[in-house]
Amino acid sequence: MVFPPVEETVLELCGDGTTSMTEAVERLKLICEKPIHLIEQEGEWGTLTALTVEYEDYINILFPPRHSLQYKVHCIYHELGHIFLESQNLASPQISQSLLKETKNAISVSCRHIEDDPVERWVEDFAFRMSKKTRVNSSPALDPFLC
Amino acid sequence: MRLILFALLSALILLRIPAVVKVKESRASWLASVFGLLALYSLGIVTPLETIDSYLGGVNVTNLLQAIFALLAIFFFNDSVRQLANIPRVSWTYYAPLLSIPIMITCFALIEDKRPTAANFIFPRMEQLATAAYSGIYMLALLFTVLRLVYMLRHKAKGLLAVFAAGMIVVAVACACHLTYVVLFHFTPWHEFALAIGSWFYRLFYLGLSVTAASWLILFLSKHLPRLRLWMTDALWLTALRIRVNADRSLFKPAWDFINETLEDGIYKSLIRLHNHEVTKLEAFPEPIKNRISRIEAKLGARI
Repeated sequence: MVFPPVEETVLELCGDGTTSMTEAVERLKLICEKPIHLIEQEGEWGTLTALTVEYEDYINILFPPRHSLQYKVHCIYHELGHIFLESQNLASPQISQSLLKETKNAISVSCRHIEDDPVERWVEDFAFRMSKKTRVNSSPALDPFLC
Repeated sequence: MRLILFALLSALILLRIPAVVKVKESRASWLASVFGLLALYSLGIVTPLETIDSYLGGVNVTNLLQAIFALLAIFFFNDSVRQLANIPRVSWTYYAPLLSIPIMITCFALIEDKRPTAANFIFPRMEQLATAAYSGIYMLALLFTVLRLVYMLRHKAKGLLAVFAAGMIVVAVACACHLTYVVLFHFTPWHEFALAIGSWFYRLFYLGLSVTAASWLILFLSKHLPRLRLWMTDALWLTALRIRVNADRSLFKPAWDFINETLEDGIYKSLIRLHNHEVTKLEAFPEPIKNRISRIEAKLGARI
């Protein structure tokens, strides 16, 4: 599977200059044609840092309140990366619909992922570049004469 | 004057190595400073001219090298200005100055009686057509490149960039003086007048280059010093913390991120890596470390 260049995707969502997370989420809503809700969720998170739950007509991104703002934003961007890839049919959800049905009455679900998964690498790079676009104090614009 | 220029260029080259590794757009101006330094070195200001030339056969090849390195330095500076001015590399004239290099080499080879090594190699041989062609083509290529560089800067030449452009104009005047000297000396009987004009070349050339290099260095430092002051300590502290707590699989990764990313991006990556480490180990950092991380994160800021 060939993923789109991360830089182009970020450009599509953020435009040329800097932007805010709200604006980026608004643009992604238009692409995936579903509302996306960001919900701070108390509870036992263990080593999970954020979670995307997709329903018929909306998507929830849940994240724990205990982390710092920068880290929460990074984890949300990571999940937005997954949503983008899924909206383009470039990656399926980590737990498919048929498997989800199997877990209907389960009291716990754990799964194994292949290490160094290309999807994970793509969304992590996406999160990094998105945060760069929405950071207040980012790297200065490129100056070939002085950089 | 030459030693000052040599020290300025050496400082520039060393300071810019990290940027050259990261950003390909910075390579043209970096190459310009490298060739500028090589040109100065081949003038014999560090190692005596006779010593360098003796390794090259003692036939004044150093003079040819000075010309080629200086031309390449100006050519690459011209390229970085082209990028600064957003001018595409479409015109056939773009590479024209480089065509003069093989012509210069041919003319140099045709000069008779090239020994002994001398700083003023061309002056006693200006009667020869090959010397006039060699020196004239070099100056013409230099003049063309410098004038094009100044022309490309015309809309941006404000403040220190104006000083930079002024330095280049002085270099252009120096080249014009030398060109006039070559033409008058070789093709007219007015040798005294030609020598008087030619004597202005070295004064103006090094004055112009020094003004250009100094204004560029001030521009460079004024852009980078505030960022270094703001982030360098944090970047080093976060890198050291990543190594200390074994936040990465490889010990080289923190150092690589520090070198390979801009300061702000390197800091961001370190912060995310450290938070990942906290989450996977299910233990928080001690309060003083957490406080410092919070302060750094606040400095980075995030637009929600």
